[in-house]
Amino acid sequence: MNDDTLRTLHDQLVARRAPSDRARCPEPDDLLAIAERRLAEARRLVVLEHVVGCAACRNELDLLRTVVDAGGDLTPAHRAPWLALAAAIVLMVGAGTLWRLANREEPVVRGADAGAVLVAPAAGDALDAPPVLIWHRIDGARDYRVEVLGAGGALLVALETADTTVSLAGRTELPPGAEYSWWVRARLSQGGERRSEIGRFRVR
Amino acid sequence: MSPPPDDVSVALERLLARYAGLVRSAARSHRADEATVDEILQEVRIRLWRAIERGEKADALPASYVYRAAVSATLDLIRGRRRKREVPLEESRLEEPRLEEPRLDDAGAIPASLGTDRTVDEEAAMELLDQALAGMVATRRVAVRLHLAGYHLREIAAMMDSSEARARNLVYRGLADLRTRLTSMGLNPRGRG
Repeated sequence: MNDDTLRTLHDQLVARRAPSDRARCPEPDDLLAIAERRLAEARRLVVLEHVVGCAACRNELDLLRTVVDAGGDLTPAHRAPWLALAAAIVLMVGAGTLWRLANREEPVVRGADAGAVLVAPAAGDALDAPPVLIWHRIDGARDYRVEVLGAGGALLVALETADTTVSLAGRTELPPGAEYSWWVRARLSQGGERRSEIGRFRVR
Repeated sequence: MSPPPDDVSVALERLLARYAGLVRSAARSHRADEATVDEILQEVRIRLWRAIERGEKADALPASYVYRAAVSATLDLIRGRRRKREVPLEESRLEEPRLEEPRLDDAGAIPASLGTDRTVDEEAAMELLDQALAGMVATRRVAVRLHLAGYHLREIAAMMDSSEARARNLVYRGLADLRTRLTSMGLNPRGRG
């Protein structure tokens, strides 16, 4: 039985067994986590198993993959001036080193596997006061950039620190009743960065 | 919405144009719905203008900001469509068979194009496929099903957060496993590939 035959059968199987509603569909955040390659393996397999049998989720995942992949392609171009400067400096050191740097991609690693783990606020915490954000130290980190986003994804505040805590008191207004997202990007001494997963909290 | 200064406008439009090109290119590659992609790009534009109006500096709107705005807009759109229980995102796409759908002959048999050596109706064949898939190791099953759903190895690797070599291995070994299981269930291949 060739691939086309199996595909035909599989398409029919998917169409015939399609979920009748979206009640069991994974959350959009899970689909995004797959597109960003930061979902833990066990959960990833469960979600993908559903997605491959659910046309609606497949289309949503394809859309998120589109946005994520385009974002990944956009970022290097904005790093280009820095890479060019680095290349120019290294040119003085030696052609061999230059070749290695020019062909190097800065590693961007996301998620808990990379060690960029958020500690507090815990996911979904409802707080009375502007929080103190805490995360685990990351080996090799030169410093950290912490970004807090509003409900619409707007950047509310971006802070840079060499510490692993930062208080938001007096830094920005966080109107009550809203949900906020935050993440940490560790910039590594040897170049590249590591990103945490996105944390969420509410202010009461 | 008052227009931002021209230099901001030019810088932002340049960034948006570049991002839009990348998104449309990725959309073609990922078979994403173009109308939905346009909707997202429009929402990204609105969010970026609003950010500038709130006092964000144009040079503080790097690629990562555009990326976050696009992701956020996409999630909002998906959640909104789920809430409205609309037919989401070109749902009919998968329901149309990729290949010409096999038709039962007068005796209710799967045509020879399915490569079976026994008479079995489509529902039974699907049931066997379902059972065979269920018996497989999860990683192989998911890789094989993504392959059968039309995803390329590069896409499978990305979705499974693995290398392309590992994805290829999972798909090929998985397909062999699947064929062995189908054969043992009586849905015998007839040397068609």
